[in-house]
Order: sequence, then C-alpha cells, then structure tokens
Amino acid sequence: MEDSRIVELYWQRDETAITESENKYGRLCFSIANNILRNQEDAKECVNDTWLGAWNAMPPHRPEILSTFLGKITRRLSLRKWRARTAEKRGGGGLEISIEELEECIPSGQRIDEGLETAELAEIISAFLETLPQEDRRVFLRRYWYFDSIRDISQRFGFGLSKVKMMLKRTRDKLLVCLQKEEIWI
Amino acid sequence: MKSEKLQDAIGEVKDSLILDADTGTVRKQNSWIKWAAAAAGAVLILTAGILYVSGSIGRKEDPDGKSNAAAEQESHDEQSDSAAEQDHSGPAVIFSEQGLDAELVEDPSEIAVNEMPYVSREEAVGHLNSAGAVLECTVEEISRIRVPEPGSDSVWFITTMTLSLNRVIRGKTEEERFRVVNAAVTNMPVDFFCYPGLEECRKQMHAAFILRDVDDGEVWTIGDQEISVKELGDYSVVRCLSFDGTNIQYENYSIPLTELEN
Repeated sequence: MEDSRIVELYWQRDETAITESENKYGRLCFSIANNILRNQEDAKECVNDTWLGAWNAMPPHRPEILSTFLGKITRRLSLRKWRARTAEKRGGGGLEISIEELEECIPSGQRIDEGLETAELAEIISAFLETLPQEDRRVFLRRYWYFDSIRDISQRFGFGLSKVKMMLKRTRDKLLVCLQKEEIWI
Repeated sequence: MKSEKLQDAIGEVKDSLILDADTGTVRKQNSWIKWAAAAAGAVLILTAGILYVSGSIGRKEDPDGKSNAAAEQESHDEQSDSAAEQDHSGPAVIFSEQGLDAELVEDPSEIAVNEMPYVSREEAVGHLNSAGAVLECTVEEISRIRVPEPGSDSVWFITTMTLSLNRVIRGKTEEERFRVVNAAVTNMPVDFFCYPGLEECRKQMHAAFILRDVDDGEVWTIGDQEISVKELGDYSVVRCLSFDGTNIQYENYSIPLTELEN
C-alpha cells in the first residue's frame, strides 16, 4: 500500500493503518530498535509502541516520508528505554561504543549548550551532512542514526572494516570542526 | 550524558538524508527477516467509540455559550477522586458476556505517555480546522476498565464516557449526547494507558472533543473474541483537549477560537 494511503488511514482513524504500517515498516523499525537495545523482547515492545505513537501523532501530522517518521519514533522510544536501562545499570547492547565514538565530536572541556534546542542542532547537523560526499554521509547515518554495527555497514556498502572505521573517524572529525565553527559549545 | 543531546539531534536530521542512507547501495541485505512473523500479530492500538442519541430533547444550553473554567475545575477536583462516580456496569457486562475479565480501574494515576513527535502550532491549528467537528462537552459518566487479553501478555485499557454537548466549537453536529469509547492496548506494565487528554477526564469536567464515527462492522479482537464496537456505541475520541471558553489548549499551544474556521 502507498504511504499516502496509509497516512490517510491514520487520519480516518482506521486501525488498518497499523496493520499496514507493521507489514510495510515493522522490519525496519525492529532493526532500529534491536540495534539500540540488542534485546528482541524490548525491541518488539518499542516497535509496538511505535504504532501507538504514530496513531496518536496522525492527525495532526501528515508525514511526507512515512518510513522515517515511524523510524524516528522507534529510535526515540528505543533510546529512551536504553537510557532507562543504563540508569538502572543494566546497560547492554551495542550502543555504548557508538556513544563513545560520538563523544569525539563534542569539543573538549565543554558540553552542549543547554539552551540550544535539539531541533536547531539537528538543522546544523543536517546542513553539515549535506556537505559530505554521499558515501560518507550514508555510512555516518547508518552508524549513528540506524546504529548499525561496523560489520553490518561494511557488508551493506561492500567496504572493508578498516575503511568504514576510517570514514567514520574522518566524518566525526569534520563534525567536530563544524560544531566549533558554529560555536556550539559542547 | 552530554552526548545524549547530540544523539537526539542526529535523530532529527532531515528525512531525505535518513531515507537516502536506508535506500543507498546495499551489497548484502541484513538478516533481520525472521523477526517479522513473530511481530506480525502484535498490533496493539485501537480506538473506537460510541455516540448515541439519548432522546433528551430539551437540553438547556449554557446561556453565554461558554464554560466557567474555574467553577468547572473546582467541580472537577471535588469529584475526581470518587470511584463511585464511575458507571462501569455497561461495558464490563459486554466484555463479561464474551467470557473476558474486565477489571475496573478506579483512579488511573499512572499513565504511560509515549514520547510524541513534535507538533507545530500550524499542524495543531490545521488539525482542529480539518476535524469533522470540535465540540465542547461535559463528561456525564465515565468508566475505565482493564481487560487482559487471553493467551497474551497484552492488556486492553478501555475508557467509555457519556458526553453532553455544551457547544459546537467548529463544524456541525445534530446530536446532543454522545457515548464514546476509546481503547489502547499495550504489554507495558502500566496502571492505565490511554490517549492524550483522556487521562484527565473526570465526571462533570468540560473539555473540547474531536470525535469520529465508528463503522458498523468495526470489531476489537481480544483473544479469540470479537467485540462489536458499534454495540458499545457510535463514536470514538480522536482528541480530548482543554478548553476555557475562548482558547483550546493543543499540546503546548493555546489556540484562540478566532483562528478556527467555521
């Protein structure tokens, strides 16, 4: 079913929208959740809650790209669950490593300006990503948006492990410079 | 901790970039296909509702057409803790007749709230203007029940209410009393789970409601039982919003009636 039709079903409060979303994007959402949580039960729970989030969000939302809209909900829910789990010192999952990597992008000795809205920072990062070569951008997002493992990325794009690591390192360095230039004190 | 904001911001980058990263060159597919069958049956949200015409023809309208928010709140507070105000016999019986356990939830103090996507003010106004009708109603009766789904760890959380119309804020309706129902399902360990705004509903409370018709053939499948939603009523709640007579509170936005189309 076309995305626009699925969105229309949500607006009509037709529960078929949820079945169709699950059929079309359940796998995508599960992979995002499972990459973050590395626990199938928790991941399934986040995916199920994704449909609830979508149901509550449409209306008023009318997303242009349904897959990323649903993926964003899954990502938020999964991160929230992961953070709660970490707070309970039950961490686990593959997220710690990618978080450590991301911290390299944060200018040292400072922390992200609390007053800066996430949306503003997202705009800056989007603009930064648009300046990158397509391959670098894709690899960066696979790692830090989809939370793919280095191995999965190398298989997806047909690169060696070391090349993927090197691409990510270079991009993180560039992002650090970008944030410093934008005077995003982190 | 300090990287969380960066992590969140990356999560909100442009959709086109995210999509491109997902549809870009793939040499080898990831192998997360097996999960799909397991997750396929786990859809967990439904909403339905009921409106019925009570036949109360002579309902008096609020003389100035708007509510006294302070008085309503007082009334609301006085009554909110009373479980006795909840008339749960109707819906509970319907579920019992189907062999399902229905447990009354007297005080839904713990509500699971999902982290919702950001709603812009324009979207909120757009939703109000595109809704079939936005109605100010008083909650006459309210009932909350919890129905464990047999053979599953999911629980259905069902709210039913009888609403009386105070005022048509925008759009049209020919009805004056509505019985509505709303269902949410989750396997999270929560006391009660419902849609935004509904957790606040108490007897005698006034609020703005967006309702939708329930289709004739609409059913909830709970375990191996099918519950006809139409049997419960005719309308469901799409949104329940605070309303002070001149402004509707939609998430963080106070939207004056002057911004609504008629």
